[in-house]
Amino acid sequence: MNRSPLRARAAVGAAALLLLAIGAAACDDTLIDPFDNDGRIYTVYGFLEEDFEDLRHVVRVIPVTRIPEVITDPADPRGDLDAVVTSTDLATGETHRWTPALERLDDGTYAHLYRSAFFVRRGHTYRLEVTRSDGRRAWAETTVPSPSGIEPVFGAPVVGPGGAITQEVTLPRVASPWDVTVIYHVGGDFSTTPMPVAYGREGTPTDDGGWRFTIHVSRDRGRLSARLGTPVDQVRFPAMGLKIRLLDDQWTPPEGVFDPEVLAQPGALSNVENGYGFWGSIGLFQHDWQLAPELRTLLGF
Amino acid sequence: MRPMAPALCGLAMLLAAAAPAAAQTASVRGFVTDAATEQPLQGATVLLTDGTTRAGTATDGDGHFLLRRLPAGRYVLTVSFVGYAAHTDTLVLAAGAAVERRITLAEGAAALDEVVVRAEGETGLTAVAAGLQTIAPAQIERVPVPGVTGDLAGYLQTLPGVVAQGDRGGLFFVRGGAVDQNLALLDGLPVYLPFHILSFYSAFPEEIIDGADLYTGGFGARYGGRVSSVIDVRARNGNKQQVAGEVALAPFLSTARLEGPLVPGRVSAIASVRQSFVEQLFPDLLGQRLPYRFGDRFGKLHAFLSPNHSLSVTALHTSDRGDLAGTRKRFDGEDDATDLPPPDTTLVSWENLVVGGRYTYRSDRWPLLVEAAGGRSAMTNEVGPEDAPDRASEIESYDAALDATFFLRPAEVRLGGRARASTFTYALGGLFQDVEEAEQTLTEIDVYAETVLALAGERLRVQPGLHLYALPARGQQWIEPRLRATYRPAERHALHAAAGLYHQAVAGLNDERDVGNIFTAWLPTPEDAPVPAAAHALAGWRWQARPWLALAAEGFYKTFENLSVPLFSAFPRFTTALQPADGAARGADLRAELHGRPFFYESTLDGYVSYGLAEVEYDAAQATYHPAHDRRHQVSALLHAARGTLGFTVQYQFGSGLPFTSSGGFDVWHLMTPDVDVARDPGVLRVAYNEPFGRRQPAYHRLDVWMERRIEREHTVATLRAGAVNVLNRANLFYYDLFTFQRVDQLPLVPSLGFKVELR
Repeated sequence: MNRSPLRARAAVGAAALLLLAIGAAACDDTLIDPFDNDGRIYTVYGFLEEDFEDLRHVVRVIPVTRIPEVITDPADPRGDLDAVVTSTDLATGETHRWTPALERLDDGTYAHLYRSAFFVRRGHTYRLEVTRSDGRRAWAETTVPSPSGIEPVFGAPVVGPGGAITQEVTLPRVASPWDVTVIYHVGGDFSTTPMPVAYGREGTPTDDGGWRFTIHVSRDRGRLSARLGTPVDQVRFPAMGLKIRLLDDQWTPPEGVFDPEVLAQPGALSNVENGYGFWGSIGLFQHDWQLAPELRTLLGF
Repeated sequence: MRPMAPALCGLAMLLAAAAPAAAQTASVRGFVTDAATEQPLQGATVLLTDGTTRAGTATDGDGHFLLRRLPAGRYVLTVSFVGYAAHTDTLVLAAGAAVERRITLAEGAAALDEVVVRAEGETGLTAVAAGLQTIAPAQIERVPVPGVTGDLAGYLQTLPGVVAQGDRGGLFFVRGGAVDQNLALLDGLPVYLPFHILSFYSAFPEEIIDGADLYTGGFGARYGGRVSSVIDVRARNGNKQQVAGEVALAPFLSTARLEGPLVPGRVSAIASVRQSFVEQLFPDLLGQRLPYRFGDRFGKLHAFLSPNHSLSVTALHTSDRGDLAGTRKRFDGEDDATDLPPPDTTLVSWENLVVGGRYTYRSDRWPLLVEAAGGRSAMTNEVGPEDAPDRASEIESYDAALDATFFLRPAEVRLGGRARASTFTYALGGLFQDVEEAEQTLTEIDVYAETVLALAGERLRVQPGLHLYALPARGQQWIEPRLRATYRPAERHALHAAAGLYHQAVAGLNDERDVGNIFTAWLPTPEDAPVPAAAHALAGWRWQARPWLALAAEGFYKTFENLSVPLFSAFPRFTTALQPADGAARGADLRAELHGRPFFYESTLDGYVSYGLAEVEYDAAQATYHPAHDRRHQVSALLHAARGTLGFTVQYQFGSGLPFTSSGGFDVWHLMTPDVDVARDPGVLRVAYNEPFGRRQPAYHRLDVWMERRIEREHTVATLRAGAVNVLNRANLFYYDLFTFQRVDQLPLVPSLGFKVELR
């Protein structure tokens, strides 16, 4: 065999290529873990609401799993969730341990719910902790909005086309209320019944960070008339009120829109450390007032 | 509407540049064909020398060449082509003479270092010319795929910059472009899904390919309507002298081809049928399910109506069906899960039907070639059970085209236009929000003008052009300048560059969040949205270092605008909205090719090594990310040793890991407003996706080994090929199904045995 150096080099090169391929393929790992969870163990949803009539609170805790957890049988062993939920008022140190329950949802599946009951104090910061038996925990904090010192500014009643009576209200320092309810205290001067009319998120923000909306007094009076089954001119309300729910500062979706496509992102509208989800709080602003004489005159009582 | 004046001005300039010169010169024209089959040889080098004057060109797709403006005198004409013995002739040209030659080349050895004149049609892995890779059948044959023939798809995967997302699914990405941004043509007609379900195979049988041009970017003015790449396949005409054919039997893909003269010397026909039997023969090969059924049927009639007129009719039908998740494993990679029923979402099928004709007129009086072509292309693409697909997308389009080439010197001028009317029908079953079920139409008009200028003694070839892309129903049009150039500073060196602007009004929506979901929904881009656009720039260098060794390097940069990509919703898959995105792709390739290197005992070595470095980035409204086809490093190597009738091939492919979106796990999501009662509302099952495409899969390695033996007789050639794909049985990941908790691997070690008999 006449083997020139060049041919020898070619043979060596070919062999080296093969060995390189085999070596590279053999040494490189083919396994992959497509789950990349940096210690996020629970998803938490719920909120505290300042409500003088209802002190109960609930949160849903969902374990973050590699396989979707759908419990259809209350006897399912997964129904016993390894989690302890506590809340602490960071201003007072008052702590509550929430009671777990596996409860049936509207679609027939079961969810891990934790319940507790206590007064929610405006301006206080609460911390919710969900702790696993191994000590790993997820937590979230919320500061209950404190809508104190807000004095609504009322415009003069306006009589529009067809005799419709409206009145504009401006709420200083209320940038974006979640919803507004107008309360009509229906009855005589000494005994009234509060009757709510929902306004939802009607209104517009003002330039100085407030909120402005219009109360449709005569329209609402017609609705109350229908609800009560009495003639309109007999629906009298010497006083009115406002009930406004305010969300905590963290409860602000991107660009102010609750868009499912955006908010479904795990990091969107999420304040849970070591987990996913959102735990917020709602503050309540309430204000009652006697009807101005001019409005009563326009309404005929 | 943009003014037309620049386009007309440019056209006038092109024509002016091509103005014919004085008359008292001679010309030589002719055809170069294969001596055995009379097939035209595209890319053959034609060289004319008289000691001082040199003129050269390369044959076109019909094997035609024309050399004009030759001073009277005595010349030596040399015609050469890789794999054929060179032809030499002496010509004496009188002033004003127009000499015509029909030259046939017989197969045989050709010394590469004799080739000094190269047009863009030159072939070989290193023979890139600004993104153009001209592919000859012999090259395709050199890259074995399971079976006993080669295939264009197998060859394409060896090219740097061409990324196949897996060995099934038929999705190819070219230098950063998405699947729908590739224009695939067969004899000038679009083939919308040009690859079979097993990605080794294209819709174009190797046996029927006369040649193919792959433009990975920077394509010239004659192409339009796509923003990334072009694969232009020319089908062979049948043998006009004698009956020929072949039968190849192999489980992956068996082939039958028959061709021959209907009117000897004038009219020929060729037909080919390919069908896979792997599903029936090996439903459980080495413990792996191979539920793939695919095939294609091709036919072409070609007739010389007269010496100057020819007519051809081409038809192609392809069909594919299978379960992409044919090989599934559990998460740890240990336990096969072949007994699990396939989820409907991985059952896919598609069909192509292309029928068209082409008429060619070559003037005797004028240096003019006119081609008129037209036809119908249809495609159906479905996901889900065969009798009740979950989603479907169909296209039916009609093309009419007219092209004229003026063979002037020093410029060749090409003018042409195309009209394409398409109907898109789709039922997406909520795959993309706001895009549900509809039938839409789109009319596209392409008009182009380009010239090829040979300057500086043929050392510099410049190909400027203008392409007008118009949507008449929308009143929209774009003028797209294009430029390609090649400069040969020395005999063995070539520098090349290309640039251009591109637009595309047809979009293929693919849920790229999920690699296992290959379904592409084709539809027109919305009328109220800007159409996708791209700009390309490429530059490279080629060096024929030795007669048997060529080296090449090329860099590219592409920008994309107005793309539509899925929004990375955390909702369970198959429902997503679209978001706008821009993108950029950049990279460089290095290639070395060994050709006919003598080796031990009269054996020869052929082979190549290529390395591609690339980066693709999308800037979407939601995030900036590297999409699923962003393969950073790609190495492909092939070594083929041949001695007499024996051949041995080793092929290795490496690809760095493709990006994927990892999951933080499953949970439930509530649209968290104060109105939600979490004690009653079940919420929505959610995948807690992490950063889009923030992680990468393991690298891809595949080593294939093949042995081949040819037995030649007077009228037959028998070929036996045995080998295996993925001989290291490496578990290359295709995708991981987060919902069924299974990984799907690419093909494991798969042996293959094939036998072919050719009648010649």
